[in-house]
Amino acid sequence: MKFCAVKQYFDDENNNNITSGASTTMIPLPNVESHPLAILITYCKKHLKIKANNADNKKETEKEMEQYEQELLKKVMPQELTELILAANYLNFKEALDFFCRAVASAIQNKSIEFVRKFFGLESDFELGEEEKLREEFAWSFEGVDED
Amino acid sequence: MSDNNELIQWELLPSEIVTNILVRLPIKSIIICTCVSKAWKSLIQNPTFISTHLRYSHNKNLLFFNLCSENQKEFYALHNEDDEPDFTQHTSFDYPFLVPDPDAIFRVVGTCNGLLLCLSNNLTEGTSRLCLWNPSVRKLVNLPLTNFSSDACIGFGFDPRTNDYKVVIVVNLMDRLHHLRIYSLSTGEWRMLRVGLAPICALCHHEPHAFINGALHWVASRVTDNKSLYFILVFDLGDEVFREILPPEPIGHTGMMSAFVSVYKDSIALIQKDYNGFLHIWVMKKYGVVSSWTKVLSLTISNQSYIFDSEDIPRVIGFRRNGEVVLKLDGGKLVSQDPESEEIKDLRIIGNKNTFVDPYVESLVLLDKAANRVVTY
Repeated sequence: MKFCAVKQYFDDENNNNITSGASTTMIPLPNVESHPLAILITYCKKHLKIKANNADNKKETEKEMEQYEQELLKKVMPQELTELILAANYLNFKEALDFFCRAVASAIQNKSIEFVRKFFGLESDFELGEEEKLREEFAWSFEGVDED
Repeated sequence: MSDNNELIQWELLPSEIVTNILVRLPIKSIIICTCVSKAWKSLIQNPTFISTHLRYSHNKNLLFFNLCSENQKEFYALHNEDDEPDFTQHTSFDYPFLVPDPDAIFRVVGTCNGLLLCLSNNLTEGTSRLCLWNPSVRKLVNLPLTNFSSDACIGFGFDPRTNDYKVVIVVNLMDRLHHLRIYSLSTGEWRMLRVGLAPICALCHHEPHAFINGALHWVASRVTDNKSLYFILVFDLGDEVFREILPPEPIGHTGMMSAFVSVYKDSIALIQKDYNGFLHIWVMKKYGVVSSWTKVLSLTISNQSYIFDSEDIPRVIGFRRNGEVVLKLDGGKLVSQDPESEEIKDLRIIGNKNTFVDPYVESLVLLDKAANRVVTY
């Protein structure tokens, strides 16, 4: 099962011998919003489907997944990525986590400090002058950075 | 999005996730990220992050070459190893400072995890200096001065158990291995490894080292019953103990005109010149297993020994990750040869007398060192 956190829940249930009369089980996921969860479920289903279609051909699976991932990224706002990452992390869904981390890395690659801060909602907590010193020390790494 | 949004506080991205994102960035971008916040700075400038980044499998496979420009000054080039058939250049660079004095000769003598070991010889004063340099992060550590002869055998490698880089100088007395001097990047100091632990043998002068499987390797010889016996001396950087590996059966007792050990995939190769004008390349297919020595290539070499300062043609200058041997041919032309198919590829690079090739990755090593220990440029 891909969503390892959910699997844990089922394992716990079996251990406690709770027999559920209902055909559906409600699993509380307090740390995940419905929107990212929907995306992750779709991603998971798609991944399993592609894997099943290309049973023995690992390369085909990778290629199809890449195409699907490119399409998915076009529909997702950059700022949503952080939410998706936290959701995938909470659910312990490794493939999705790696994919979204890759996507974030692409989004912040060669961008300025200010861009990265804005993306993650971070603020500078350096002491006065500390940041200037760092910028001076690493001046060469700021060459050719994308304009904000 | 209601109150629930407050639960997902972006500042609280776990550090494993931030690491997962940042290791995928090019080095310049990682360095920019050290300026984003205090937390990110201390996450990145940390030995753990640096190790994780080193192990990240998407780092490009590069080949390091030390070359020479027209004015006899050394410069360095990194080429994309997997980019066949062009082997495009990824970048090239110089030693960034004026060498301290015009009488000094500066050379890179080894690489490890993106770090370069550099030797500067002052011929008039007869002194030598070493430094560790990471061009990817523009940081350099000068090793404390220590007396050693300019033709001493020097080794360089990494101890994964202590996450430490070590430089080893072999000190001879009366042409025999006497003791080792070992420098540790963590302590920043030299110390001596005493004679009682060193085996009785002699190393060839100037011999390049091979660092693989946590140990340094050199060809050594000893005389027993008036016969010279050749073997491979192994020094484990972690345990700091010596071992020996026997050479291929046919050549252990015969005089090898000259021989050296090179890294071959995850094992070693022995490059040996015989008295008949042949160069033989043996590889140890299973590291440490003497019966697995296999001769993979023999080449005729022309030695224009009547020309002063000559060298053999062709000369083995190293191996690629896929096991192909890199040779320097006439005029400095570098080629890559597959020992099995014997297919030859032109690397389109011209080398010189000191050129060697090493598999290389760009890394962040030295980024975590305190400002008072490193030189930045």
